[in-house]
Amino acid sequence: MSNEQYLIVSYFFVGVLSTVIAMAVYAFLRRPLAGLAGVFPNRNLASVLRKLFPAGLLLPALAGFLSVSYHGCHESYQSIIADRSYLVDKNQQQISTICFFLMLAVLVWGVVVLLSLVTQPKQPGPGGDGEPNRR
Amino acid sequence: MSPQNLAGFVILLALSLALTFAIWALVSKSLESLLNQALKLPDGTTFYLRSFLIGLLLAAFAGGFGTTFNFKPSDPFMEYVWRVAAGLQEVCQYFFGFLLGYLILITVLVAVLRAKHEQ
Repeated sequence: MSNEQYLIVSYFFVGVLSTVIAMAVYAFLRRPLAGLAGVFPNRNLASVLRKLFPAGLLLPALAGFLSVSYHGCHESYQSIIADRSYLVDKNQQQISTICFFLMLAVLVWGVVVLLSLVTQPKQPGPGGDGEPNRR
Repeated sequence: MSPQNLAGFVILLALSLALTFAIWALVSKSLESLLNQALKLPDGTTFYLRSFLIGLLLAAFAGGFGTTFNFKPSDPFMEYVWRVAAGLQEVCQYFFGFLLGYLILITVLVAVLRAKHEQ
């Protein structure tokens, strides 16, 4: 396999891998999140979060993959494909960045779930029209 | 990738995973009790415990894959050892960052939910 073929195959392989890793994380966390969403005080928020959850993991994974540039110290395309070890390094860097971005996404989702758990929906007051119930 | 480089990479990854499971084994039981006590929701406990495990695994992979092995077969053994050490240092930095973030999250979670339960 030539270096150029390796570059094309590995680039798309790592791109697909980023999606697979994100979906694996989603599959692992989907059920507990759905269970938690059932007890969120705000039902609409629970529905939005359940639908946004896969995108909230897939997008950071793709962002991590796309954030690695092959144009570092190599200026031209020819110099990029001249060195196989440089291409392997870039693939490793892509996987590392995907994992890092996903790790941040998992932390952020933890914060979002926490905020959702303590969010109170607006309830009408005892005699008021849409007034929040103040006690 | 030469067999020596591959061996170095696999050893680094294995050590990172060993560190991950050591931290998991140390913390998971007490974290589960804390989450059970604070959340009072089995799904919530599962969500935060799984997030913790996934975060640790991703930190290990981020550090492990971030280290490159591109030595020649004639390079001395200690070069490989130093590269594995550099990789482990990176893994530890990722662990530190993740644990710091998770600790802050759990502290806020416990404080906020305790206040909410006391209302």
